[in-house]
Amino acid sequence: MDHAQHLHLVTGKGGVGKTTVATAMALALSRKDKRVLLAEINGSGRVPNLLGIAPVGYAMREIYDNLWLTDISSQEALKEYVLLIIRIEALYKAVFENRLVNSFLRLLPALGELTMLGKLWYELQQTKNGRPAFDAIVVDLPATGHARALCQAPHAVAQSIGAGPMKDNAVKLDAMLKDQQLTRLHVVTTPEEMPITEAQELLQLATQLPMATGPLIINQRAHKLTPEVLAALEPWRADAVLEQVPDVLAQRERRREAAEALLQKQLPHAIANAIGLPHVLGSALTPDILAGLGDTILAAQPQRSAS
Amino acid sequence: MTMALWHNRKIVVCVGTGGVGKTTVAAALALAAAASGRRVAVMTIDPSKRLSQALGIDANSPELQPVPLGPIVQQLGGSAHEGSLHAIMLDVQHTFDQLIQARARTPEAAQAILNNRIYKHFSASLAGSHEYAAVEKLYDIHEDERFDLVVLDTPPSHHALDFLDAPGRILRFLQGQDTDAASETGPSLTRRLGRKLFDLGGSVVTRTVGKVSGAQTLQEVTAFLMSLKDMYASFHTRAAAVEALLQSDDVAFTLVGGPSQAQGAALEHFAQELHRFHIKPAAWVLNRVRPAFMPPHDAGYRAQALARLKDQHPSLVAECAEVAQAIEEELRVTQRDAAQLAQLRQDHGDSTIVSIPDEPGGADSLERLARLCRALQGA
Repeated sequence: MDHAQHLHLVTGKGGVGKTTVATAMALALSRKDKRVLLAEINGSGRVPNLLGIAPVGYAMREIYDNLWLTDISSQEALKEYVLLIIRIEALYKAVFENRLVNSFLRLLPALGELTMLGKLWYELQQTKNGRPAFDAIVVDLPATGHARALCQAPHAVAQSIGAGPMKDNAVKLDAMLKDQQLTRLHVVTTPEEMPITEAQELLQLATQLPMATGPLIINQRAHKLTPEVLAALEPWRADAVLEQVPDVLAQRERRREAAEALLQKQLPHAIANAIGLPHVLGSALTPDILAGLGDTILAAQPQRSAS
Repeated sequence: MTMALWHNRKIVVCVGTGGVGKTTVAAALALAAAASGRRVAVMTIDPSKRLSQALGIDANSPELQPVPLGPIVQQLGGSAHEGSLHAIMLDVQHTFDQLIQARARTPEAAQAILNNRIYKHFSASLAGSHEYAAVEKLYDIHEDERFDLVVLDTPPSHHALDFLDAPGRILRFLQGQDTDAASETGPSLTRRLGRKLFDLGGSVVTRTVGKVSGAQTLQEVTAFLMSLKDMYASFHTRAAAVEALLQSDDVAFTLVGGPSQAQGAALEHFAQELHRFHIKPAAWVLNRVRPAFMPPHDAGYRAQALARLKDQHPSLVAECAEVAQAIEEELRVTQRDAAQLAQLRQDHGDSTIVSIPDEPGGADSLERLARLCRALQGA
C-alpha cells in the first residue's frame, strides 16, 4: 500500500456534526488535487442531504472534481467480497441470494463490519493509470457504538475463529486500522456532556487498540464573551429592541463556560491541541464554506505525508 | 392538552434521532404521569449518569428499580398521590439471556446457547437486536400488573421503522425470509433448515459458503441454528403479539426533535415513516428551543448600536465583533426554531405540540426535570 495514501475515519456521538466534518475534509482534500473517496457507512443519505445533491448508492459517483461519493452497505459490500472469492455470478446468485444462506451469513460474527472495512481496503488497492485511484478515503462512520464495533471487529474475529479465509481477512483489516501512517481516527464532539463523554471513550479506545488519532474536533465551539464586553452591554437594557440581548448573551457565555469546564475536566490532554469549529447553520454550509472548514481541520493535523 | 398524551393509553413510546434529549424527555414524561396518579414504568436506553442520579437509581442495574417520587412531587407542588414510578435501563445482552432461559427446553440447552460464541455476537451486534430487546422488555413490563403505563425510550435511530419492525425482522431473519410473506412455524421450518443448511455432506451450497466463512465457522453457526430451532415457535408468537400491541390504540407515539436543521429533518422523516404504518403521532416535543429575544427590526438598527458600542469602548473592538457574531448566531437559531414550530403547528395542529426551552448548564438536575414535567403537563 502506498503510504502517501490516507484513510480518515470520522466518528463521535450522534448529532455532533460528523457528516459535516467528514464532508469538509473530503472537499478540502479534493481541492488540493487529491483524488478523494467520501464514504458513508450504511448511511441515510446524510452527505447528499448536506450538499443538496441527488442520493448516491453503493456505486460511487463523482460529485465534484476529484471527489467521489459512495454509500457502503454491508449487503452490497458482502456481495462484492464474495464475488471476488467465488468469481462466478451465477453461483453467487444460486447460493448467496438464497434466503436461508443469507440468514446464515448474517449470523457470522462481525461479517457486516468486516465486509465494510474490506470495501475500504479494496478501494485503497485500486489503481488508475499507474497510481492509486484514491489518495484519500474519508469515512463518515456511524455514531460511537457502531464505530467501536467497526474498529474492534477485526481483532475480535481474528482472535476467536479458526484458520481460514475469514481469519486471514480479519488479520489484514486489523493491520489496516492500526497502520499509523495510513489510518487516522478523527473524534468529533460538541461542548456538551454526552458527546464529551463519548469522545473520551473513543479516544481511550484508540489508545487501547492502538489507532492513530487526529486532534479532537470540537464543533460549535463559541468564542468567549468577556465580562468587560458583557458589562458594556448593560445600557442596552433601556433599548426597546435590544433589551433582552444582555441576558441572552450572558446566558450564552454561562453555557460556554460550563462546556469548557467539562471539556477541561474530562479531556484535559485532548483539549490542548483540539480544533475548534464555529457554529455554522446547516443552510449556510455551502461547498465553499465546507472546504474552508476542511482546510482548518487539515492545517491542524500533525504532519505525515501529503494528504 | 398534554394530559391526553398518556390519558387512556397504556404505552408511550418516545422516538427521535440522537442528540435531541429523548431520554430526558421520556424520564420527565414518566415522572409527570406518575405524579398525576399513574403507576408507571419507564425504560431508558443509555442514560447519562446525571439522569440516573436525578431519578435516584443505580445506572448499572439491569432490573426495574423504584424511583422515589417525593422530591419531584414536592417540586411540582403536589402532596399525597396514588402514582408510582419504576425505572429500568435496557441491557440488551441481559434481555436476550433472559429470553433464552425462559424459552429453552431445558436449563442445559439454555446454558449451551448462552455459551455459544455465535449467540454472543448475534445478540449484541446483529442489526435490529437493540430494538428487538427493547420491544421484548416492553412486552414483559406491559404484562406486569404493577404498572398501568409504560414509557419507552427507544434507541436513537434515523428510522422509526427499525423499532416498529424489529420483532418481525428478527423473526423473518431466523426463518430465512427476506420478504413480508407469511411466517412459518416450527415443524416445517425445521424441515427446510434441515434439508438445506444442516447437510454437511459437501453440497455445493455448503462448500461455497465454506469458502467465504471457513469450515469451522460454518459448523459453529450451524450448531447455533440447530440449538434455537425448538424456540422458533414461541419467538414467533411473542413477536406477533408485540407487533399487534405496537399498532393498537393503547400506544401513544411521541416524536422528540431538537434545534438543529438535521434534527428537524429527521423529525419530519420519522413522522412520514410512522404514517406508512398508519400511526399518527400523539405528540411532538421540540426540545432545547430558544425563544425569540428581539422584536422585528431592521439589521441597520443593530449595526448602529454595535458601532456606538465600539466608539464608546475602543479597547473592546475585537470583543464587539464577537458580540455581533454571537447575536447573529442566536438570532438565526431562534428564527429557525420559530419557523419549525410554526410549520409543525400548521401541519399537525391537531396533535399535541410542546416546545421546551433550552437551558444552559446541563439538563438533568431535579429542578430542571420538574420544569420539563410542568411543560409536558400543561401544554
